[in-house]
Amino acid sequence: MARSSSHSRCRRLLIAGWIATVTAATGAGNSAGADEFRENASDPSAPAIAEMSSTSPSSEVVQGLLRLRDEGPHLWPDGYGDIASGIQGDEDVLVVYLAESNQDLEGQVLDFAGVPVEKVAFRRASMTRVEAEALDARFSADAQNLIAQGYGLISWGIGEGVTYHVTLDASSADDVGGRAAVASYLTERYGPDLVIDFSPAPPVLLNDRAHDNPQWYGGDFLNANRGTAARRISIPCTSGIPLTWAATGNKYILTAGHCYSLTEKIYNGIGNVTGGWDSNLVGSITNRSWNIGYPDAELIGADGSRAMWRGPSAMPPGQTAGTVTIDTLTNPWRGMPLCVDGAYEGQFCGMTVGDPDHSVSAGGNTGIAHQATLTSSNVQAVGQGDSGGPVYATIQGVTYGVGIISSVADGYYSCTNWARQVGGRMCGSTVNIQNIGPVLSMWNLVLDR
Amino acid sequence: MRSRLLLVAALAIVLTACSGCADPSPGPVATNTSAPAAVPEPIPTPWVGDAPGELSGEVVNALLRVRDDAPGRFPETYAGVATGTPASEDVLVVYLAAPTTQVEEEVRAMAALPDGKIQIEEAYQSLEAAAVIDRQIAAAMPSLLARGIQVQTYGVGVDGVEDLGVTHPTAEQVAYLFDRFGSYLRIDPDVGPATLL
Repeated sequence: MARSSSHSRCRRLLIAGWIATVTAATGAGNSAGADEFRENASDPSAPAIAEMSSTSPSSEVVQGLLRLRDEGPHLWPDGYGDIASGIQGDEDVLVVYLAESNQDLEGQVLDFAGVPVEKVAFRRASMTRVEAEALDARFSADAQNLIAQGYGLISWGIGEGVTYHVTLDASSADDVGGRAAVASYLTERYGPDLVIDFSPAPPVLLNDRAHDNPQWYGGDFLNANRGTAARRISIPCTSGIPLTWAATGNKYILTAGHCYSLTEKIYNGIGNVTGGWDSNLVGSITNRSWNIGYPDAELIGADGSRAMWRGPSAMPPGQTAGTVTIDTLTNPWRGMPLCVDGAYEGQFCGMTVGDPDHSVSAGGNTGIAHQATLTSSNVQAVGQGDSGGPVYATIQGVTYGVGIISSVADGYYSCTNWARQVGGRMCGSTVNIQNIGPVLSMWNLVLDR
Repeated sequence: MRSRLLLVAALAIVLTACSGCADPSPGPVATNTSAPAAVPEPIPTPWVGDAPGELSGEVVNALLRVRDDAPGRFPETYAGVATGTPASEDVLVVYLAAPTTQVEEEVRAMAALPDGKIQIEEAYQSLEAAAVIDRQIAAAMPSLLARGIQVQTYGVGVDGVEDLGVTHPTAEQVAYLFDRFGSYLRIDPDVGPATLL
């Protein structure tokens, strides 16, 4: 778990930010019912079609970007640096950073990316991706020693364009000889290409559903920022179960497919609550399944935790009710006693599985596949914004993750939690959840351990 | 769940009572020469609910074993699994369609549970047979909607019966569903579209 150290938290955020930068396009439209498509059902590494606008990267740029992201370091270890999307005034451009610049290499990259040359901009990188990752491994290994020596590391990691960024607590620099001495020491040790910043010490973390950090817990508030600065629109959902693509070890957090658009950036924050908008970046949507005959599921490219929040949605600042950790995954069965854990309604146990594997109509999708229906007598069991939250059972000390929250059959009770948020929330007692098994097989995923 | 069952039962009674009835109102009326076919007796929903006791690890492990292995070993018999009976939470219930004594014994051996912790129930048909109907319904969704039949949920129950949640179907629509998909349907007539969260 990385959460015990604010230093490691910030480092993870920086890396997550990098991932978001290289994979992100701008999302558009409300996903719930606005678009019906399933993308890339067999391969989490290469999402296919994104929603586009004139200010978004086209699908060919996104596909080329992801292809290069996954294969570039292996194909051209001595030349490949990094990728990004968008340049000033034109989002539909694939930016490729190469450490060595020659026409032969650029030609190979263009052929492999499959993106027209007019949509590609080559940039010079100061080091290759392989070199950057080696540097990152070395720096990370030394980090605790540096901190012990008085270097107030706040964050470190690979930035866009294959730069290596190190941020230190400005006040700590004085304790070890001043900023110039710190910069000299670090560049001497780790190379001249370090980008070194000094900033005030980071705030103390609260570590709750609304203020989490990698590895992200299940039951966190999720949010996407749409609209404009003048009229903010938040799209609330909940973080679910951590998964890994078995083939590569790539890490994802599962949430509901109706929540967000492919490539959309997802934040940890409470919808429409001050501080929740545009807050803590979790990652971007890499894969989405939202079509008739398929599960309601999507993946956030981020490092999740098997731990899920216990207790109610809101706790006094800095306080939580602790967590429960998923041991294994299985599909629900009729009669299974379950807990649900939406960020907005919090943890509620006392659900029972009725129909374990049905297709459900919701949000204009007339056949969301492989869902289970849970019943309870609590009309506040789940509510809007809880989609994606983990569903699980702890039986004789073993916690089985079985799926994520998707919809509610009787969603006509006013929620008592967060009533003013999200335009007046509706709650219910009969919950449809997305079973985990079909999601795992659809994308060849396993529980992230 | 009980109220839903009563609804289905009531609907079935109405349908049964009225099928073939003459319109008692005087004067010219719209005549329906294709009166709905007789609707089968409603199939009760397998029990689910709170029960005394606590689910044990051995029952869970047995359920997972049976759920994983039985469909492949007994495709013509296996229908589904559940936990809990009105008497105890800690019971594995296995639904089998027309099981032979030998199959029952093999399923019990597979579960490896004491007698009091496993119960075999008769299913209407196997999961394999029910899945055929389920796929037919999935494929028919557009045509059902075109007929005004709003199927909101569908799927195979543990007892091999296809469960359909439909928004206020007419008697004709219910009869049509039975006519098209057979008698192993359990129709809940009071289901609306779910709300995404």
